[in-house]
Amino acid sequence: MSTSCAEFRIALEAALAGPEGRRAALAQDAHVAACAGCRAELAREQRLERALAAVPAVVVPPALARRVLARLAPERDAAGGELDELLARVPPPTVPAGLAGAVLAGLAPERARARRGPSGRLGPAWLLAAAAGLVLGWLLLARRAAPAEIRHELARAALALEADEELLAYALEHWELLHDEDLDLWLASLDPVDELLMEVAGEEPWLDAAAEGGAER
Amino acid sequence: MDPDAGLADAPEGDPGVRWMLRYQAGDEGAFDELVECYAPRVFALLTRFLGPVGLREDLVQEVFLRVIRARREYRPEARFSTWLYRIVFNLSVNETQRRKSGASLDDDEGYFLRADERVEPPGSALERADLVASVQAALASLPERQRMAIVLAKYEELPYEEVGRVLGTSEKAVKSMIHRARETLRARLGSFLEEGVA
Repeated sequence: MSTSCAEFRIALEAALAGPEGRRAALAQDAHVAACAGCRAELAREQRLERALAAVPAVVVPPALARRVLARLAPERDAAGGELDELLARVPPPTVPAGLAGAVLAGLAPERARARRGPSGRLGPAWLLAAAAGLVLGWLLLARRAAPAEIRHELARAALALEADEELLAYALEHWELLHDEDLDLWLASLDPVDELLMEVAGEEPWLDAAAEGGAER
Repeated sequence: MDPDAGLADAPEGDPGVRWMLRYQAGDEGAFDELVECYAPRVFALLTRFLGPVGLREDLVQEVFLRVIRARREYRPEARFSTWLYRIVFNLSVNETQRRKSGASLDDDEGYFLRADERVEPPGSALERADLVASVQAALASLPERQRMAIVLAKYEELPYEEVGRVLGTSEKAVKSMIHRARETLRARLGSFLEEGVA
């Protein structure tokens, strides 16, 4: 029940959105009975409702759905149905053996790059593996070297790997020289690292001998 | 059959949604169900919106053609009828624009008066037929969104929230649209709405 014109308008708006019965109930509202303005407004809205309701229901032609379906048949065949059946007859492709392995191998450099940290440095595990490989290679190929030299070069490799990716590339470049067994040239080319080595040697006693060995060269 | 009748919460309980999902999954029979159930409603909505133009059946076909083409992209985010009515609305607006640009539809019997035509008061036994024609002309004179809003709310009995979903707008905006539509209709049908006439 509305008690004011404002309340009546709210109730009227709600009634207009609902079924006819709600508008009829509004006509019984005590405020409407007492307020000529609201009564007139309700009557106006009810007349408009009656006018709208006078429009007859739409007569749907018989068998409309059947005709529409018949006319849509070619499109449906194209969109699904027969087309899907035809497509299903295409044999599945033969996957080459070892595809996954080949893909993984091809992606290895990219994955390695993706594993690097935000600064662009190599991940610790990768560095460790590379360092181990480098030293092992050195041990195998540089049989002529004395134990002190081996330790020295191991320290150099570790330093290079810890320092920067560029130093790793540097070490790998000289690995090629190792294959040429040009050990003298290889060791001479390591000189730029000596300063770093000496710094570390000051803190790491086990590197002392290696540093001294390198310096003698 | 009204597939939306008794729906507690759409779209889960909506048969239209279920049929569409089945059709999406490859069940062609579900599409037949959709057409059987919704074609009459689409036809009725097109008639309310455009009038009894001759190509309504073509437009019904076009609506369901769009359903076929949207089959793979369909997502059950609302009642099926809401999604379908949005297609109907878009198509109807296209047709209205086409009419305005001169490629007119073949009106069956000059059903609608021109939108700017002043409706004269009835004064004879023909007044009911006049009233119906005048109401239809007044409806046709409304801007497209207002027209669809009042047609959906009044004749399809959709709640304002649902009307908003069809038109891609809020319930509040729908209330405002319908309020303005009613003002326009009252103004155009003024003579019919005098006491004791309508």
